[in-house]
Amino acid sequence: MTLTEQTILLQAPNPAAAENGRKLSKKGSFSGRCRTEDGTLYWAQCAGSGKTPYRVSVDWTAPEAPVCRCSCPSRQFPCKHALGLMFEQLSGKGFETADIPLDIAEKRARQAARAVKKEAAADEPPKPKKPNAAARKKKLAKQLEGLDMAEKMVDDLLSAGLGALAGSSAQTYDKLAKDLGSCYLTGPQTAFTRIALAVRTVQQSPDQAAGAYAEALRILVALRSTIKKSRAFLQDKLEAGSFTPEDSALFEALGGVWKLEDLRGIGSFQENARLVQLSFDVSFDRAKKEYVERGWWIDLDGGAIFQALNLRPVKALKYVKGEDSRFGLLEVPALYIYPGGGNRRARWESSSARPLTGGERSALPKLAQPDLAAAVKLAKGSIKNTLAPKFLAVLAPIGRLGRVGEEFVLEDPAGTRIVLRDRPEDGPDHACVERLETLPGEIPAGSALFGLMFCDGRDQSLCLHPYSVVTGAEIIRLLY
Amino acid sequence: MNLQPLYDVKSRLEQAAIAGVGLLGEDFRLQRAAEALKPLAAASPVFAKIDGGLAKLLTAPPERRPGLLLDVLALVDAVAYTQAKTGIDGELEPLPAGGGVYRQISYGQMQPLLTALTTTGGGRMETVQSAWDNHPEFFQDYRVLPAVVGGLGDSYGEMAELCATLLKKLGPAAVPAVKRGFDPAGKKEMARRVEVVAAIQGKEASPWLREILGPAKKDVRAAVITALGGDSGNTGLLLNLARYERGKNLDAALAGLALQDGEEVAAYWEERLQKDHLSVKFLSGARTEWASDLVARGLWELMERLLAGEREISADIHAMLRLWWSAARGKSSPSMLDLWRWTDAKLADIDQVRGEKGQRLGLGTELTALLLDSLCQAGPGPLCGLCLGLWEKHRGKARYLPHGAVASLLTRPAAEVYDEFSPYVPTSRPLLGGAQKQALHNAALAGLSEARWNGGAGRYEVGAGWPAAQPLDKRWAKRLTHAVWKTTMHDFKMPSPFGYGEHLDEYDLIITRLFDPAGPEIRQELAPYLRQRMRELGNYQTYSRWLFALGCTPQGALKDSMLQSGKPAYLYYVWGLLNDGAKSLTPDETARLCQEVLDANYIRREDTAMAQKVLPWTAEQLRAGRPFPEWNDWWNMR
Repeated sequence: MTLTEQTILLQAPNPAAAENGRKLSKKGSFSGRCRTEDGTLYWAQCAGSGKTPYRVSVDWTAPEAPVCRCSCPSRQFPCKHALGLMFEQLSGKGFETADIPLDIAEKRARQAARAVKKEAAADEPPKPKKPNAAARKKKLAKQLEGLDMAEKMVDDLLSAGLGALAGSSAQTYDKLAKDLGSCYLTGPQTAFTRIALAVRTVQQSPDQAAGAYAEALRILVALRSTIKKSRAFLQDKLEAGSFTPEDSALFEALGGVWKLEDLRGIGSFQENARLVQLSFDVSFDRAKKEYVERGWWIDLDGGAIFQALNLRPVKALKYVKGEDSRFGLLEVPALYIYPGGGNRRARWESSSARPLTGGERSALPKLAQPDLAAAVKLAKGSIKNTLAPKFLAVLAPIGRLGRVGEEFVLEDPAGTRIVLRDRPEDGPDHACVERLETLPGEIPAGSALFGLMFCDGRDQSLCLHPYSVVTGAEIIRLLY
Repeated sequence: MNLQPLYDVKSRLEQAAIAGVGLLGEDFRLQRAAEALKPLAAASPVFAKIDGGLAKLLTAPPERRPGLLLDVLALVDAVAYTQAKTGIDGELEPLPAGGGVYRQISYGQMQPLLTALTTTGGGRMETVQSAWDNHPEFFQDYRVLPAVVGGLGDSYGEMAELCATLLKKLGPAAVPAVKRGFDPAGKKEMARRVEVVAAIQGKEASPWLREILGPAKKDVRAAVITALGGDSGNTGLLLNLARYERGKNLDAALAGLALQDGEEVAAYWEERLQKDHLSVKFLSGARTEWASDLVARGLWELMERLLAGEREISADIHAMLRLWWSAARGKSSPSMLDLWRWTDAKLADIDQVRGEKGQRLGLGTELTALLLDSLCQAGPGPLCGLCLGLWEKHRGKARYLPHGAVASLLTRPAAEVYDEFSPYVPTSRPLLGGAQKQALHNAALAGLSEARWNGGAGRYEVGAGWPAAQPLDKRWAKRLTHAVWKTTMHDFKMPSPFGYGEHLDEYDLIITRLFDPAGPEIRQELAPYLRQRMRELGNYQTYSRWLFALGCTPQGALKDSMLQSGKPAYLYYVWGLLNDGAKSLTPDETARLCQEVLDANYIRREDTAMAQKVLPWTAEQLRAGRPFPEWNDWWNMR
C-alpha cells in the first residue's frame, strides 16, 4: 500500500490531531526511527511533555486498519505521536531496519490469536439468541404508554397554539420530552426538542418566524404520523408476541438503534458492494447536540445512493473518530442497509479502498437517472411520505447548465429543466450553487449532477441543491 | 390547474396551528379557504379527500381538532409536494467555462482552512499560513480561492494582508477570482483587490483600472489611481487626475506622476512645486533626470536664499528644508552633483545657520549624513565619483571618510579599499592626536557599517542592497578585532538583535554582520574576540548566539559572562539559549554548556532547585543521543 497524506488523515480522530502530528514531525521530535525488514512495522521515540520520550509504533499488517500504539497518556486514538510517525514515513525520512521489539511481537501474536478465534467463531453457525420475551413485552407496553403521552402533548400543544410555546411552557415541554426518553421513545423525544428549538428561533429572530414555524409543523405532522402508525405497529407486535426487530422504518422513527446483526437478521444487507463517495458534508444537529458527518455513496453495481452517517455527540467528540471525504473506490464485503425508503442509510464493518479505474470512472455518470422527469418523479414519491426526509439525493443527467435570469438551471439532454438552489435548511456552510459559475473547464457531455432534490416552500417549486458534478473522468465536488 | 386554493388552505391550517385550534371555530379565513377549495374537490378525488378532512376538522369537537388538523395538513403537504412546479421558462444562458482549478481536498483539509478564512477568532493566521506551507496548491482550488479573496475584507487587518500576499504569490491564476464580484464603490476589501491585481498584472492591469476608475469611490479610487501610476502609459490620465482630484486621490495621482517620465510631466511638476513646495515629498522615490534636476534647482534656490538672509530659520522652514533634502536622496543628475559640490564649498556658511532661538542646527553635519544616505540609495554611479572626489579633496578629515569608504566598497577592488582605509582603524594606541584619530576611526566605522554579508543572497552588500565590487578583504577581521577603540560615531548602546534586555556597543553589532561566518579565517579571528567581549561585558545571551552562528561554542566564557552580567538568570532564558545552541553544536558541546551553567550557579533563586535537576539530566539525555528537551520537559521536572 502506498502511504498518502489522505491515508493519514483518515486515521486521525480529527483534523487538529493530524495537524499536531505533522508539526511534531516537522520540528524533529522523533528519534530512533526503526522499521522491520518487511516494512509492516514502524516505530520510534517521540519527545513529548514527559521526562522520557514516548515509544510509538504503527503496525501496517492490515493497511486499511493500521494498529497504532503509543506510551503517551492521550485518550485520543490514534494519538498525535502515532500520526506524527506516519508523517515521518510519508516525508521519506530514514528508518533503520531492525528486529521487531519483543513487546510488540507479543502483542502481535496475541492479536493474531484473537483474529483466528474470531474467524473460527464466524465460521460456526450463530447461536440463536434467546430473546427475553418478558422484558421486551414490558418495553413494548411502556412504549405504547409513551405514545399516549406523546399524543396528549401534541394535542395540548396545538390546542394552545405553537405561538404559546414560550418561556416556562417551552421548558415544561423539554421536561415532558425527557419523560418520553424513559419510555424508550427517543425519536419522539427528539421531535419535541426540535419543536421547542424552532419556537425558540422564532422568539430570538422574529424575521425567521415563517421558516421556523413551518419546520415545527413539519415535525408535528411527522410525529402525529409516527404515533398513529407506531401504535398500530406495536399493538400488532404485542398481540402476535413478536419481539424481534422488523424491516420497518418505524423502529428507527421511535428511536431504535439498529445493530448490524439485526440488519443481517432481517436480510437487509448486500455482499461485495463497490461504493464510490459522491459527496461529504457535516452538519450540527442542535436537538441531539451532535455532529452529523454524512457521506453520500453510490453503489457502482446497482446505482442506489446511500448515506453513511457518522454521529459525533458533542459530549464525546474527543472519543468518536471523525469521518472524512473519500476519493477512491471502497470494496465492502458486507454492506448493511437500514430499512426505509429514499436514500437509505448504510453501514459496514470493514472495507478496503483502492483508486478508481478508468472504466469505473466512466461508468459513474451512466448511473444517473435516465432523465430529470424520472428523478423528479422519484423525489416527489419520496418526499410526500410523511415520515421520509423532505429531500432526496439524486444523480441527474446534465444536458446544459446555465442561468435563466438570476436562477441557476440544470437542463437534461431531453430539455427538461430544474432550478438549482441551496437548500435553506442546510445553512450557509452548505451554500455552493454559486460555485457552478467557477467550475473548472467545460463539463463534458454525458456528465451528471449529484445533489439533493427538495421542495422550496417559498415558491412551492421542486429544486436541486447541487453537491457534485460527476464526469466520466472525475467527481468535481462542490462541497467536500 | 390553479393550486392557489390549496396553498391558501395550507397557510390557514398552519396559522391555526400557531394560534391554537381552540379558536378554529371562529376562523372565518380558514372557512373561506375551505370554500375556495371546493371546485378543485369536485375535479379530483385527492382534493375531495382534503375537502372532507377540512369539513371534519371544522365541525369536530375541540378535543379532536389537533389530530384532525395534523391529518389534513399531512394530506395537504403531500399534495403540495406532488404538485410542486418544476423547471423554469426563459432563455437559458449557458454558464461560461470557468477557469478555476479543482483539487481533491478532503473535508478534514479544507474545512479548517475555509473556517479560518471566513470566520473570526484567534489562531486563524496560523491555520492559513500552515496550509500554505504544506499545500500551496490548495489555494488554487475553485472553492478555496474565493474564500481567500473574501479574506481581503477580513476585519483583522493582518489576516487581510496575509490573504493579499498569498493571492499575489498565486499570480495570474488568482486574477479572475479577484475581479469577480468587484465593487468599485466598495470599501477596503475592494481597494486591496485593486492592489492585488496591479501587483500581479503590472502594466497589463491598466485597461481594467481605467475601466473601473469612473465608478470607483473613496479608498478604491485612491487604490486605482495609485495602481495606474505603475504604468507609464497612464501619464496623460494621471496628469488629468492631478488637476481635479483632491485629498488622498490627489496624493495617489502625484505619487504616480512622480514615477513617470517626459517633458509634460516635468513641466507639470515644475509648475506644481512653484505652487506647492510641500508636494516635493512625492518626488522622493523618483529616479528620473528631470526629477533630480527639479529637486536640485529648488534646493539650490532655497539654500541660496537662506545663506543670503539672516541665517536664522524657523522650525517650519527647517522642516521644509528636510522635506526637500529627503527628496534629494538617491538622485544623481549632473545638476544634483553640482548642488553637492556647491554645498561642499558653502559648508562653513551652512554650519553657521541657526534656529529661531539662536541655537546651532548642525545643518552641515545633517547634509553630510544625507549625502552618505543618498549614496547608499543610489549605489554605483555618478554619486560614487562625486563622493570619491570629495574624499580626495578632504583626505585626512573625518567628514567625507564614510563617503569615500562606501564609494570605494562599491567600485574598487577589496584589497585597495583595505589598504586605503584600514590605517584609520589603528591597532596600537597612538602617542599623539588620539582624539582626532579616534574621530577618523569612528568615521571609518560609519562607512563600514553600511556593508554587510547577506547570507540569503550569498554576497557582500553595501547601502540599499547594492553588491560590493568585491568580497570584503578578509584582513578586516583581524584589524577590527584588534582595533584600539571599540567605538563608533554613536556613543550610546544599541539593543541586542536577540532581545533579552541586553544593550551592546554598536561596534560589535557592525563587525558581527560584516563578515561571512562560514569563512574559517573569519571564525578564527571572531570567535576568540567574541568570547573575550562576552567575558568583559556580560551580555552572554547575545554573544553566545553570535558564536553559535559561527558554529562555535561559548564554552569557557559562559560562566564568567553570566557572573559579569550582574543579574541572576531566568531558567527559561537559559533553556532558550541552550536550545539554540543545540541546533548548531554537538550534543557533547551542549552538554558541557549545561555543566558550565550549573557551575556558574547564577540562576535566580526561584529556579535554582529546578536548574539543579534539569541541567545534569539534560546533559545525560544529550550524551545518550536524545534530542534537546522541550521547555515542558524541564517544567514538568520542577
